[in-house]
Amino acid sequence: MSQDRVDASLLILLAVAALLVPFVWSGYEIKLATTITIQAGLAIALGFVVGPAGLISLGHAAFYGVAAYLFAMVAAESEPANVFTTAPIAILGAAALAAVVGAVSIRSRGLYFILMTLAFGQLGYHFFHDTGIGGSADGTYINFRPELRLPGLAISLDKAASFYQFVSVVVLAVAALAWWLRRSAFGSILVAARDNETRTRAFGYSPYLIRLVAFVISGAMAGAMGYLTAAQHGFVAPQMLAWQNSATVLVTVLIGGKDTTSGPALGAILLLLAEEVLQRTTEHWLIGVGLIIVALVITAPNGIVPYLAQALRSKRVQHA
Amino acid sequence: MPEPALRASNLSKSFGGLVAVDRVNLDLFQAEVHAVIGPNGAGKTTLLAMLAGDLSPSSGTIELAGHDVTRQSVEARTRSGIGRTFQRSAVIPRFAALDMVRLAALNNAGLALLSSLSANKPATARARAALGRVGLAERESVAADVLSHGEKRRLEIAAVLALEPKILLLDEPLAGLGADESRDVVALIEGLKRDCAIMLIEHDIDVVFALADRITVLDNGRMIACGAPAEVRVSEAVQQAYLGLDQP
Amino acid sequence: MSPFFFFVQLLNAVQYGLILYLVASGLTLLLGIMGVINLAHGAFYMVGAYMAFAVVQHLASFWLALPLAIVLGLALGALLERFLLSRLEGADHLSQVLLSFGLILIINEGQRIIFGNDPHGIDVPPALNFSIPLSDTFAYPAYRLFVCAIGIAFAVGVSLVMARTRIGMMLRASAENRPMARALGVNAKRMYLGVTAAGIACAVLAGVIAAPIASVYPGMGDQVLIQSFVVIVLGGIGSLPGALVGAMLLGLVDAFGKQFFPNFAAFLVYAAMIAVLIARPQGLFRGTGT
Repeated sequence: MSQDRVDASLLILLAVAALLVPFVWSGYEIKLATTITIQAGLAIALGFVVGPAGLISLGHAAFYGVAAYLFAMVAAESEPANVFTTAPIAILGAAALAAVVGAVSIRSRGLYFILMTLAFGQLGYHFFHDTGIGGSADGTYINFRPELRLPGLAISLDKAASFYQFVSVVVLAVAALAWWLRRSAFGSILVAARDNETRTRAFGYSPYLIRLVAFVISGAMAGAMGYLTAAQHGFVAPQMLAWQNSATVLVTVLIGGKDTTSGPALGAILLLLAEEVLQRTTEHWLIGVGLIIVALVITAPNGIVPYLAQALRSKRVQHA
Repeated sequence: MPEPALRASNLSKSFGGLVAVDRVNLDLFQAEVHAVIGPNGAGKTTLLAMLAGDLSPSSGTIELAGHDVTRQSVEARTRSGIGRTFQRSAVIPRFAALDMVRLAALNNAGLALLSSLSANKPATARARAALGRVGLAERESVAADVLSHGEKRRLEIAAVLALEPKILLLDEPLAGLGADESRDVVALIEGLKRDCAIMLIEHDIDVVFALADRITVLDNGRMIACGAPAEVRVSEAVQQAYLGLDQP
Repeated sequence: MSPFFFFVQLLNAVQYGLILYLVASGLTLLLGIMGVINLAHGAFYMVGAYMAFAVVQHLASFWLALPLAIVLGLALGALLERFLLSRLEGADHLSQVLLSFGLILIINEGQRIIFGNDPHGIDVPPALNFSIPLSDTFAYPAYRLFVCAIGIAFAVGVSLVMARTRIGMMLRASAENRPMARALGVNAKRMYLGVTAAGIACAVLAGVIAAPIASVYPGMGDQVLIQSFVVIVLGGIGSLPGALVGAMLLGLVDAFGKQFFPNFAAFLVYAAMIAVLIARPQGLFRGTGT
């Protein structure tokens, strides 16, 4: 089966699973599913620049965190905020930051780009941690979960199930967007610029501009996830922008497969599920995760989804 | 005399102490093949790189239909109508041949970028036509890095054709091609002459004298002769430079 | 502000800077000569600190920890190169990030399994447990001066090796231009093994000597790792002298920043890192040769 087929199948599977969750689970599990779904969305956002654009960003948590903080700052203290007014602010803020970071960093190649995004991420972290804006190291609370408010209509998201449905719709939209962009001519140009920049420029395209657009879109998606996280927990803290967070998201992208849309989501889901399940058996489960990661780098360096596609292909050839 | 499609005036390029191109003047006219020849290291590829925009000249100017493009980026120049091939075929690995040519045929289509390459009918039609012209119609679904050397070269030409350029810069297009393939490419270039101004760097002297309307000879970065093939053939300076190399 | 207070802060800056230099030199060699990003470098620093703790606990001697650190560091580095990094030969930074992240998890969790979650302190070795008086009210701990001495000895030793030996010449050539160095016959496999072993050993040793000052706790490598990246950007990737100067700068900002502008010190550091990456990616102290 071609990689695209496997990718599409997995996406559909995950989408169906996401839609079934509220009917199967409740209570603690739904809250876990909410967290996992948001992290899957964040991984998809980062995967879009790491894969087709070939940009290794070690600072993406900054866009995630900034959107969360923006929401905390514009959320009213005494009543629930309106998703339709606060989310655009948070997302546009993240996109604006991504535009600045991207404009400056994308001129640099390879390693220097990685280091620059790392530095920007740290800049963001220390901005909120050291300067006193947004509560410093302690973070800030958001007193009410936002609601969907339109003239004459107000949908509360207080119940875990309703909030989960809201989250899954947003994340599915993000996944659909990422899938569409990857397969569009825009996505093809990105990949062409990644694999032979000279030739792509000689076709009249500007790799810098194309990558910048991809980076901003990715930053906006990451911002949307930050908004959702802030809405879920009612709390934002500088930790959200820490480099360890950026690195973890990058790792989930790589484990799943950066050149697919479902790969990053799968990586995030697997990692969080592993945490959940293994936590019950031993408190030192992380060492198992570490060993698995090391094993994966050596055996399936392109990620799980491509590995799966490859395995299915050879099975097909055997039976043929 | 008609306006040159491309005019390079007093173009020079130095790398530190080494002067690779020394005050070269070059005009490209439409419906004309202008060949640039010279011994290895004479500065031909450097000259082409400056015209294409890969290198910025140390001094001199480049004008495209009267506009100064000396400082313009590669991509901008391509959009202004320059197409070029590379000495070592530049293809996009893992892209099907048709996709790569479609990429060129898109011609910066604005919002059309949001739909997939295959959905873009005009680009696909142009791409198929270009592939047909170079004889690669049957190989359209083959990944570019899997193609043979000759096929890669023809794929590159197809892609550049799809750009519908006004100026074509060809860097040794026949290198590594067999006799049959070379004949086909030569015929192709002849056919292209009508619509473009063509600059041709080529080592095969027979081909050069057959194809070229004008020839510029470079030696050590400097122009030592420029004119119709008949003049160049008997020029003493050229004989000297080529002493010890292939006799025409 | 009394001149003695200033002088003490300056000594603290130099001492912290030298430890950072020790860690960063390993990182810059790995990155400059082998093109390897090692996110686990801070974790190895932590390994050194915990090793010192274990040695002090069980063998009751801090001095033994020093040679043991070097041996352990060399061994870990060699194993890392031989069994893991070499499998990634020619691979891109993504695989290195993934691999080193996995190593961080293994090392961090391994530490928790062996030593638990609590922070520990190590006593300064008795031989150095005194202070040198600078004035009536100020005295500087001898151990910190010892740390400075080790750092300086390392800097001097390394610069002699780099400047006067064949190995040093090969290392410098490889840091400047890897493909050319290989073309000239530098044995890549052995050099990579040596560089990795030495680089990790530096981090482990730094952890050991820092332990009596910094105390020993889970995750102590995180900050050192990030600061090391700043150091090598300022100093230029692959440049050891650059790493020394970069580390000194960072030590100064750390010591004085904490005192006078704690709200902005870190922010300025990363802004500076970005500025250098934009304007002078080869580092502040290198010519524009490469």
